[in-house]
Amino acid sequence: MTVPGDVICQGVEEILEKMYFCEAECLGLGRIDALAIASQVTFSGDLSGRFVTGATEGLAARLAADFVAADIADVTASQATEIIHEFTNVACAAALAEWLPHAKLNFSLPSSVSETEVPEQWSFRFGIDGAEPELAVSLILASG
Amino acid sequence: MQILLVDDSRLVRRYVARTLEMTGIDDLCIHEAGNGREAMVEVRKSKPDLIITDLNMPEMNGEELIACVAQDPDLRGIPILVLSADRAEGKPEQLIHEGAIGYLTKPITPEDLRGRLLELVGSNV
Repeated sequence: MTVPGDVICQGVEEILEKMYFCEAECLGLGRIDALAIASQVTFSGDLSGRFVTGATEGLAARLAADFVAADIADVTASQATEIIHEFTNVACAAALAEWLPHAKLNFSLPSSVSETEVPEQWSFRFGIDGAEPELAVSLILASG
Repeated sequence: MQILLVDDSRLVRRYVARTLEMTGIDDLCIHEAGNGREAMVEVRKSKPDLIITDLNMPEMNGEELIACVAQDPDLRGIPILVLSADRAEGKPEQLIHEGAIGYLTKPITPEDLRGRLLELVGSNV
């Protein structure tokens, strides 16, 4: 089963624009070395797997600040993590609903990802407002 | 108007609270809860005019909260608006059948959320 790239890219771009007021550009497969925060939502049912998001510390702080109209200097590490959890939650549900609208799925709560579980190569990287990639997502299906 | 926001993310609660404050609703009083269990305590205490709830939460989720409110004769008239990322086919219809008055899907812009909230308040919820 192949994950449709355009669904993921368009979904992520739409969420970033609607909820965080920034323009993102999908940059495709690759590594990002500066990722500091990683979050995942696991899903099961007609299909099983996990949706993982990684973000740089700076982007997470910016998203949190934009989301609640706060000063970026006032964003705490906990809020930066929380905003990536929320993004992952929304992006996972949106991507799977667009790809498999009739599937019956159960979603976990978002949780932090340990270093060993973070993908080395991300399926989709995103540059925000024309900059270097600062956000990445991978939709990883369980085998079997 | 007393509104109870139920979401396990404090940032989301802050986002919705800020959007509510921008509607200009008179005498707005916002209460918050981090899951359905906390929400039931707050609902019994403050009897809000409107509950806005997420679905996927720890301890007691939004569907269980809707069922609890609907089953309690003292609370069942309280309108509940769902704000969730869950886009499962048939979910909005199911929850409206079980007692919710509306279902908003994330992502949602602050303008769309504000518009929907004003519609609800305009119709006296």
